[in-house]
Amino acid sequence: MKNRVRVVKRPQLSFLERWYLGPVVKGLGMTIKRFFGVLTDVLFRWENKKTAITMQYPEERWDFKDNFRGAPALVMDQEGRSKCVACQICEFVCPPKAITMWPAELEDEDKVEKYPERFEIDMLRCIYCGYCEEACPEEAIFLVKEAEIVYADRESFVYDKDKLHAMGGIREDRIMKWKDK
Amino acid sequence: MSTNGKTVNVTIDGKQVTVPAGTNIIEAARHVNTEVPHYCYHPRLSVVGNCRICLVEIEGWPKLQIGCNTNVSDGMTVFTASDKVREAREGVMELLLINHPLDCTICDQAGECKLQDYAVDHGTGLTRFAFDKQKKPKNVSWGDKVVFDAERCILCTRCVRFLDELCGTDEIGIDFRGEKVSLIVRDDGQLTSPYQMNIIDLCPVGALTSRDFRFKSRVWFMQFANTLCTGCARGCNVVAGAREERLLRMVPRFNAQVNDHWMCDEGRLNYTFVNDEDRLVAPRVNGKDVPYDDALARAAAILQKAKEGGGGAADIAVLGCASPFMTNEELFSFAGLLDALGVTERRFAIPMGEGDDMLLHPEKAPNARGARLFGFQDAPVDAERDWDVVVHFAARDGGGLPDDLNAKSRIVFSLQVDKNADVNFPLTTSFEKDGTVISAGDRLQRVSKALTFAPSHLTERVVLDRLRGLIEDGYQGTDTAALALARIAQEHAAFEGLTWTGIGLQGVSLQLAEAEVGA
Ligand code: SF4
Ligand code: SF4
Ligand code: SF4
Ligand code: FES
Repeated sequence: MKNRVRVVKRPQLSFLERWYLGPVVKGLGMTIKRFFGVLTDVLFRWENKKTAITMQYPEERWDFKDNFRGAPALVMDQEGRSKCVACQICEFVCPPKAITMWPAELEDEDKVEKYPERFEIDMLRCIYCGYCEEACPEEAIFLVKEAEIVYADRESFVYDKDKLHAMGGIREDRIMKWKDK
Repeated sequence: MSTNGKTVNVTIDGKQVTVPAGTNIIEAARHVNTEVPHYCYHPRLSVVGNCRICLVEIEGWPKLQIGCNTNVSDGMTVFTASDKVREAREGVMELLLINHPLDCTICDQAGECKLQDYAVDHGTGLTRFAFDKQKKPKNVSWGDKVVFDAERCILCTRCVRFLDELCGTDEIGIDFRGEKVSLIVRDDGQLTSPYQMNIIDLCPVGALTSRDFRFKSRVWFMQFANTLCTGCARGCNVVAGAREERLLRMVPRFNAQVNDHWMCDEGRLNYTFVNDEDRLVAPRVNGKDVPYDDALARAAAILQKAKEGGGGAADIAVLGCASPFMTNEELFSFAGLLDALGVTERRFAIPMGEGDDMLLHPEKAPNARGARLFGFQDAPVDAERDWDVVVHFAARDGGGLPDDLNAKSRIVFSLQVDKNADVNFPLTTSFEKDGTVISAGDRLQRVSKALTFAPSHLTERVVLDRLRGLIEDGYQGTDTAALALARIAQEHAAFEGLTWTGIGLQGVSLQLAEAEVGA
C-alpha cells in the first residue's frame, strides 16, 4: 500500500502573539464594547435593542425555523379529513415506541378502508427525531414548531387524536383519496 | 404424479439431484434449496400455469419454460437464475404490477406478500406504464369471513381451484374479459364453504383478507408460535400470532400427517376466549383474591383432611374431575396428586359437536385420549352421592360436572370466576403454556406458548405439583413441560423413549392399545 502519511506543518506564532498581550487587549476591548452596548440598550432603546441578547421569556419567544423539529402532530387536508390511514409505519419506525394506535375499518366507505380509531403519542417518550414524518407514506404526520410541553402529571403528556389534529392543522393536498380513487 | 418408483437425474443451477420421475421443476429445485418463484402453482392444486413468474431456462430448449408445468426428465439441465430468466421475470413482475394499486400501506398482506417479496427479489422497481391504472371494486364482502379486493388480485386462480377441487363447492369464477377480468362469487356473492378461509392463506397477494383479522395488526408486530388448534380432536397444526399478549389469529401450518396445508374456519375463529376481559387472573379463596401461597395452603389443608380420611373411602368421598383441554403433563401431575390422596373416582367429559369428512372431528376438545390414558373415565358423575371434596378442572364452557352436584369443598381451576369454589385457581388456555396432547389417530403433538398470561401466574402443572409437595413429603415437581414429559416417558410404556425435541413440530404417532384410550 502506498504511504499516505502527510506531514502537516504547525503554524508558527509571531513574536507578538507569543507575548499574549495583544490578544488579551483585543478581548478586553470586546468586553468593554458590549458592556456599553448593553448599557445603552437597557437605558435608552430596550424595544429595539441592538446588543443585548437576553429574552424576556415567556412574554418573548423564539420564532423557530421552518425545519424545526418539535412535537409530532397529525395533519388534515383542506376538507378537514385526517390524512392518516393507520398504516402503523410510524408506530413501527418510532425508536422509543411513543406512538400507539388502534386501527379500524371505515364502515360504508369503499374508497378509504382503514383509519386510526385511536391514535396516541406519548410526548414524554418522543425524542423528536422526526422518523415518523420521514416514514409516513401519506404525509400525515409532521413535526411542528411546538417545543414547550409541560404538565404536572404524566397522563397529560399522552396526546390523543383530536389534540394531535388540532396541533397539526390543515395542509393542502392535491390528492383526495376518498374522492378520486 | 405416477412415479412407479422411477427416478431421474437432473442438474439445477449446476447442482446434481436425483428426484422421482414426474416431479416438476419447482419441486425438483426445492431439493437443492433453490426457490423458483411462483404464484399460481400450489402442490395440492392442479397446475394452470397462468402467472408466468416461474419461467426457467432449460438447456437445449429454444424458449423459457414454466417450472410448474414442466416435469424434469433424465439428464435435463435447468438454469433458474440465468440472465435470460432474470430478464423474463423482470418483465413478468412489471406486467403484474401495471394495474396494481400499490396500497401496501393499508393492506393486511403487507409483510407476508409474495408480490412484495418478488418485486424486491426479481423486479426492477420501475414501471414504464404512463397511463391511468384500471379501477376495480375494492373492499367487496364475500360473506362474513372473506373480503375481496379486485385491484390487488393477480388472477392466479388458486382460490377458484381450491373451492372447486378440494371443497367441491366451486363457488368462485372468473368473469369479464381483457383488462376488466375479475373474480365473481356464484349466486348471491356469499361464500358458504366451511373451509373458505383457507383461500385467504392461499392467495399469494392481499386480494383476499380475513374479516376477522382485518386491520387488527400488521404482521411484523406479532409474535408467532407453532402450536395446535384446540377446537377439535384433530389437532390441526397452526401458527398462532399474538401482539401485546392478545391472540389475534391462527393460520394453518403444513403437516402432511394431520391437516396438510389446511384448517377449518370453525377452528380458525375459535380463539377469542383467550382474550376475554373477565378471565380469572389471580387465585381466590372464599371469593377473595389471595397470593398463590395462601391459596395453595388452603387447598392443601382441604386435601390433607381428605387424605387422612382415606380418600375415596366411605368416610370422605373425593372426586377428581379432569378436562380434555388439559395437556398430558397436567393430566400426569393431576393423576399423581390423586394417587397420593388415594382417590379412585376420576372423571372427565368430552364436549361433542358436529364433524365432517375432511378435518372437523366431533370431539370438540384436543386431548380426550390423553385424559383416558392417564386414568380418567369418560363416564357420568354420580350426582346422587354427597361428595366431600371435588377437585375440578373446568372445561372451556365451564362445564364437566352436573350443576346440582353436592360437594362440601371445591377446588376449581377455571377460566372465569367460579362462585361455588372454596379455592379457585386460574386456568390457562393451550395458547399460554407448553405441553403435549394426543390428537385423533393417537398422534402426540406439542402445543406451545404464544402469549404470556398474567406475569405472576403459576401454570396448573406447577400448582398441582406444589399441592402434591405439600401433602406428600419429599415430592418434587418438574420445572418445564419438557422435563415433565421425560418423567412421563419413564412411567408410561406408550411414551417410552419420547422427548420434547424428539416429538418435534410435526408430532409422532403413538402405539396405544385400544383399551387405554377407548374408541
Ligand atoms: S418524532 Fe421520533 S420519537 Fe417522536 S413520535 Fe416521531 S418517530 Fe417517535
Ligand atoms: S405513517 Fe402516516 S399514515 Fe401511517 S399511521 Fe403514521 S401518520 Fe398515519
Ligand atoms: S384472489 Fe388471490 S388467490 Fe384468488 S385469483 Fe386473485 S390473487 Fe389468486
Ligand atoms: S407458478 Fe408457474 S405459471 Fe404460475
